[in-house]
Amino acid sequence: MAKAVTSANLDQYAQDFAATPAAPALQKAVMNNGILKVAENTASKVAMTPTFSVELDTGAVANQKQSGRCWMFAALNTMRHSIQAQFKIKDFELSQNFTFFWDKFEKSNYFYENIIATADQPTDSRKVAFLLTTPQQDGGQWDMLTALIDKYGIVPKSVMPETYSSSKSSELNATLNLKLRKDAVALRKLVNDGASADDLAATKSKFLSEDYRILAYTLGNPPTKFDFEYRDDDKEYHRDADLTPKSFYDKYIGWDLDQYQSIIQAPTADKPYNHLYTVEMLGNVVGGREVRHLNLSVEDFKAAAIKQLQAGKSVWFGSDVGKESDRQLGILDTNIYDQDGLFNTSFQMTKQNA
Amino acid sequence: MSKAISWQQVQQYQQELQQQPGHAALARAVQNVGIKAASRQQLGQAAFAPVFSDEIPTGVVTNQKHSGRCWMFAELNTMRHAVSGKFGVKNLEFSQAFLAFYDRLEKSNQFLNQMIANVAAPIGSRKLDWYLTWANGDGGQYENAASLIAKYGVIPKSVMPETYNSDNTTELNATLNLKLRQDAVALRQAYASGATPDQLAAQRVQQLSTIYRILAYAYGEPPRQFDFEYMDDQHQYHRVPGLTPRSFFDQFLGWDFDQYVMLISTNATGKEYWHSYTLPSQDHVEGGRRILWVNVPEAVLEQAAIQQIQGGETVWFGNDVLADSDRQSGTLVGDLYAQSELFGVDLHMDVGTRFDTHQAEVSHAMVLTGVDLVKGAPTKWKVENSWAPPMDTTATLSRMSGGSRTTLTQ
Repeated sequence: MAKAVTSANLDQYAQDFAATPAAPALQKAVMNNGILKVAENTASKVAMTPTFSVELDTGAVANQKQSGRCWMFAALNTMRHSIQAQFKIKDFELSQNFTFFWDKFEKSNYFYENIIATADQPTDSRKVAFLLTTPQQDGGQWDMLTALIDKYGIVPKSVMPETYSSSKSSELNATLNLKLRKDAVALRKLVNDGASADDLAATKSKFLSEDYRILAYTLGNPPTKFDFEYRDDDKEYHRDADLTPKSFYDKYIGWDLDQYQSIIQAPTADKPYNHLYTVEMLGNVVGGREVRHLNLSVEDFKAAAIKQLQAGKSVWFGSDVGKESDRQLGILDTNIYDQDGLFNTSFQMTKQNA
Repeated sequence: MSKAISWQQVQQYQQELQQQPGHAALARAVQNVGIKAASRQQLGQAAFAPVFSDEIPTGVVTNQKHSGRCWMFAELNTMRHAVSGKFGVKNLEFSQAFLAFYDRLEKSNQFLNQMIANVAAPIGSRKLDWYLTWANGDGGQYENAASLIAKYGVIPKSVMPETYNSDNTTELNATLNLKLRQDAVALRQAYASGATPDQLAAQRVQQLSTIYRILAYAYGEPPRQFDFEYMDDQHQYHRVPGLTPRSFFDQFLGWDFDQYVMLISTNATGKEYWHSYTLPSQDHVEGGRRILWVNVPEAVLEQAAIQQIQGGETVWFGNDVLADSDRQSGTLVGDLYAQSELFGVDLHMDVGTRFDTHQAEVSHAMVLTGVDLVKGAPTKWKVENSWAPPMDTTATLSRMSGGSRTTLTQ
């Protein structure tokens, strides 16, 4: 049978269309307003009324602006909620720029090591093409944020505030990725010319110094020592002098991050439940904590989240927020758009196949 | 030596930072205004002035809005420049929604054919994964526009105007991708249950009917026949009844696609000059024209473009418009942002290396409509884009002497 779309096919489709119930009316609605507006489901708005039996008080919402730091903001949000409660500082924020700086710096090193490890492969091999297409980007995982805190600690937002590039990272990413690609060419050449481990390390170190400079110019130089001043919700003044990012973490948050386990709910055939999984080349700190996901059944997954909320702790969670959501309404619901009804077909897929 | 970053290294880098000339002032500037604003060359200088020795009049600029149809707009633009002279209609625009409808249908067909061709491949294998990730989008090559026009013809914009979805394709892309991935699962399940190739092909034909419906709701159904009414620039009324998209193409354009060759110029690894190359993954129209690129040295490419413009014909061209450009002023110049100077690190790479490392990519298509020849050599090019203001007027492209960089300015 032919693979091309034929006139006979087109005639058939036009007939099928003419036979579709309410097609002219639905067509006008979609042509004029787009798919989502026309398919939006009131039942979903009713079901998603924002009233909850278990609810934590979180204060004002933080803003990642035009950067991909959701994972940092989410993790630091869980931490700042505890500071807000314990030290009574309403709307307190931790520096998402501080973690951003160290993340990009460590990711540069991570990239170099991956390039060195794959230097024997051609540039269009799957892994090398993957590395060169995106040497680094803003995104990350919970374990990657904890790896940064383990190594570098954390500081209040007032000690390392936002800059143009932390709030809008596209220019920085373009520059840094250009630099990393150029460095990759040099490192691959060194490896393939049989350079010694010392020469390789020395070249890599020179590159990292330049990366440090690029990051310091765009994001600022991360502080090593600082004083922390604040007035609490009872209007009492506090001043904590000579803190380091690590001593600040220990005193103001002090969580044992080894007590936290990232769980996933991935019902695909290749990942049996109750096992740990990682993703190759997904990470930031070489020598640091690795991404480790424990795959659970949906019942265990939900039960764990509920238990944590009931214990008064917010829960970091990864999601696919761009789909099935209305930003204005603040609703994320698989039932929000009735595309099945609109197009008179089924769009349903199991989670496994999706 | 350890692979991890040590505290000694960090301290060393901090010291080296302190030794960098002007680091405090430069850091302050970049933190306040960002890299581009801090490093941009001066706009409006003589080298970027929009004056050209050879140029073709082009009229009002079109607007692809929030869609990825640059490749189609660029080709239709070259056509309307050719036509406007012939029929005395200066701003005759061709329907981009018409071609977009068929483009998405053909791409869906290609996707489903590829799912069938790769039906035995495991999930996660490279080719299958690539198709599933990129299922169906707006983009395309020159040859895609040519294939669609050769197969379906062309119609005036007034006969099939833009809709919410043709102007703004995000929602439609999401819906199509969902549908196509679901269709892929169905085909794979059928295969696993023992479906024959004929049965899979029949399933594909059936699946396309639903895609047709989605597209008909989004773009409207393309007309099969229409009358064309227009006023020419002498205010004479014309009415041409009973046209089809193909007869309109033949009568008003009569373009012979076989007369056009696509030239590229790259010295990336594995690419040789005076060889031709294909790109099967972007041959979207099954049974249609196939992509065939002839790789030539840059000077040959330039000469061909100059000759075409001097011959009175505009030139479709692919480029990487987001790199080195300032949209506000419509300037596109190699090294427009002096980043190497700003950071004290040499960030330059030659063209071949840029392609090898995925630094360079052909991300956009526009039209060359003029050139400034000084002593026979091109110093800048005039470019027509298809974006909203401010980058809606012509741009100029200028060549940096001795380098492999080309620049575009407005």
